[in-house]
Amino acid sequence: MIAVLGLLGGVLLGLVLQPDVPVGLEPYLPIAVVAALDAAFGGLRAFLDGIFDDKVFVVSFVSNVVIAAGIVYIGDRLGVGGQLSTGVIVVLGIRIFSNVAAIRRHLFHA
Amino acid sequence: MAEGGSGTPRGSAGPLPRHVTTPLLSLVTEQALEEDYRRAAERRADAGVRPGPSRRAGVPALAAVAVLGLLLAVAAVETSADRGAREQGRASLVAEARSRRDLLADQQTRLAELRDANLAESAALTDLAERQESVDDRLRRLRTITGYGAVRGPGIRVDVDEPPGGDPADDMTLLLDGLWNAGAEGIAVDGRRITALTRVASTGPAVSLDGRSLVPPYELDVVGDPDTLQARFAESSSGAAFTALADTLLFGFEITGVEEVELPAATAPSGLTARPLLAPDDDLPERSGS
Repeated sequence: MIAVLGLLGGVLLGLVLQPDVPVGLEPYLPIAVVAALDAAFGGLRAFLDGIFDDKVFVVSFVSNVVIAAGIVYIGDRLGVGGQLSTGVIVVLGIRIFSNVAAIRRHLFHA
Repeated sequence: MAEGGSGTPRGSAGPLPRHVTTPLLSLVTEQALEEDYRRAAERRADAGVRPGPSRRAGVPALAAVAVLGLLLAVAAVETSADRGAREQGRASLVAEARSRRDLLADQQTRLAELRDANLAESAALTDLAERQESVDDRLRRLRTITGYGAVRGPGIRVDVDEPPGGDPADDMTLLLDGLWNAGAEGIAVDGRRITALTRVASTGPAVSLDGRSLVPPYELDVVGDPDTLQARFAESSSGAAFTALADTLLFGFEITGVEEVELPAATAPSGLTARPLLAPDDDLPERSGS
């Protein structure tokens, strides 16, 4: 419940402030969002599994975002940013799907 | 990895580790949950800590989730703003492309028109050039015949002294008449071209042409067929009369054939009152005598 409140708070904050993303960081924002989503679903699954850990969640969250953005940054420098971000999104997407499947099993017992 | 999940050992070495033999996709799916959660849970179990309190999300987790929400909101706002700008850009591009296409069509129409006009103009130009050529031809012929253009050709040279007694103008007129009748195409007296407008008058004992007195003996250059000119001069009535006069009065009169005679052009009179009856395109009547 507290996590949902945090999420809502963050969304409201973003909508109210509407901070300007620096142009240089703009291409990495979607990737960062997908990585953060992955970490969040992973955390939710761990929570439901009963093995949630604050530290692990925060570390995985931050490292996911940073690594995903870093991979895309390096790809951009090498001229394969599009392909690398596709790869990152595929892997993260698969992870999100399987985590969500586990969450679904927990919630609906199916 | 390409071996698939068979896990077949290779050679004498033992079975490969599981993370090597598992296909990538299966590995990704299996490890979807961070391994660290499990390890942390095991560590806690080893340390004998009850899992209860650690299941609660603390402030750092709350902050991370808030950051996620923030990222989501910012990304959504950004994307929608981008889309607005993109659509605007696209619309303006489409409008510009359309206007350019219209412009292109206009210009192509104009190009076709200009090409047609060009074609018509060049046809007209060819026509005009042809007409100019024929007019030039005609003008040259007219000048040759009327004496307003310099000519060159075979002919004769007549050296004649002033006949004693009589009217000098009458004698000169008689001589010129005889030459014209003999088929002379152009005559110059002492270097002055004779035209239809040339006034032959007497000033004292000599002839004057257009008011300019000449001094005998006179030198007549005549262009015409040298073979027939002399004979026809003798046959013509004026020529015969002049020859008889010369025979009687014994003044100097000599005709010699010349291979090439050059006659100067007479000065064309200016400010004519006469207007031509012939239309410009009418063909010049051929001179019957030549």
